[in-house]
Amino acid sequence: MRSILKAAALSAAALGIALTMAGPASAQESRLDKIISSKQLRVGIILSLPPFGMKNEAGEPDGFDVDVAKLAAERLGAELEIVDTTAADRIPNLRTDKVDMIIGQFTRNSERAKVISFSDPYITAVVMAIAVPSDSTAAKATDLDGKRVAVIKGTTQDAAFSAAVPGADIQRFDSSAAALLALKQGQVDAMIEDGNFLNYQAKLAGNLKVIIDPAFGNLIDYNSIGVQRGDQEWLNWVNMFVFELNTSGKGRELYRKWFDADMPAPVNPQF
Amino acid sequence: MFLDWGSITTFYGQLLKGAGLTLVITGLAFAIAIAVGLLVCAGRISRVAPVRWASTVYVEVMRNTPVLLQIFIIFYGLPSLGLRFSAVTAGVLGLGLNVGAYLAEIFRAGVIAVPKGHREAATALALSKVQTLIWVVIPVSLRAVFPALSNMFLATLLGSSLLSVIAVPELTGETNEISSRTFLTIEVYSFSTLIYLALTLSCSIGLALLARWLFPRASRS
Repeated sequence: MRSILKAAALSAAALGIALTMAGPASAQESRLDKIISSKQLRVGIILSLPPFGMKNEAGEPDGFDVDVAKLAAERLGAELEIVDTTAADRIPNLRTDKVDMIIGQFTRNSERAKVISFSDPYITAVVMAIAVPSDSTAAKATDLDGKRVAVIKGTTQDAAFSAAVPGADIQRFDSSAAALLALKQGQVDAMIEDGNFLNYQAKLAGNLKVIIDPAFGNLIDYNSIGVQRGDQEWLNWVNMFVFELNTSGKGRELYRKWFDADMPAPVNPQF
Repeated sequence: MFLDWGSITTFYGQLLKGAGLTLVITGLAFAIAIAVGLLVCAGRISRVAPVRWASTVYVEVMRNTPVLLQIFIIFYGLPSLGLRFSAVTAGVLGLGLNVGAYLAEIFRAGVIAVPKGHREAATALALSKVQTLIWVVIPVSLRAVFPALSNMFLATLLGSSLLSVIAVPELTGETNEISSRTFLTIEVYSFSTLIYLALTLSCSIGLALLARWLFPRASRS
């Protein structure tokens, strides 16, 4: 009994020390210099989000986001190290300095921009598409009231759908792959993700169809590359990279390679 | 790094709800585990060879494969065979079946731990087989295995965090959800760690008190 209490006191003390030590890390050298001198670029990509990120038959990371990352590494003259992540872990990975950038269908918003920085958009997507089994009668978001609906933790879709259909039985999964599997196995009645992902999956699966709710049809995501906040020089470089990707047509070419279609909206009205 | 401890207070309710579900899952899974453990333990010491073999296979398969995969098979795999469980049910079942295999071995060790002399004394006192089981074997072996049972209970509590991967909103699931929504990564995870610590320590103390009450003359550590 006494030993349990002693252990409790000790563990609490140890945790306390660990937390106080996580103090502010002062930024001196820009990440850009570090990457150029070390020739190492660490990119967080969601490898459970085909065709943006996935593993190909050889077990190598592949997909649209992987192609973009390879291009970035090439432009920096650095070796690419891909760090597999999930939607929910994108910001933690940046905040704890596990990666130099996240290329993972990141929706930019003002809430997220309080803790990390976003580049200019490199891809567009219909924000909220709904995938249901082909025989489903659902035609719009509100038809899913009372139904089991899979969303992915920490995504824009989770927030938007939860607010739009509060009566749905929302099941929050860690990855799009897990949610998709739950849908295919009948564990949920519908799944919410962005249009790019779902259209691609519906084409592969055959027994799924994608519904775009008219109320959300005009909402376009301008997805960006995420970087740590507080390193403007690095952000400048990433923006320049995105600018080139967009203006050179390379980005559109990659989109066509993976989706056999054009992006749902021009990547940025400016360009 | 900007730490924002104050904002955590906003999420007390959600985290406590998650902790509540964690306790419910742990309780249900452990109840299943005890039932499975007793059954499989009886099978392991059965005189009927096929029953013994089947029980051994069960114990070895469950103990030598990851519980996470077992949960995946129940949640994602069984629907292909027409068996559909909700995420919570699938998780409780997976956890209970897995822990049950460990408990079976613990119970078996307990039965073996009953000194031969005790049984002989029971026979000498003309106790029936059932009486011997109830008055001699169970009390003596329960005392012997109680610390191991307590450990498995805590392991079940911590293992319930695995259910977050099949979208069960228990403590880890809620923690991930809050962290992904608010980006208070370090703050929320640290706070949840403290909740887990509080849960396991209260359970440890509760189990220690239970042991003291059940086995009044047991030597205390």
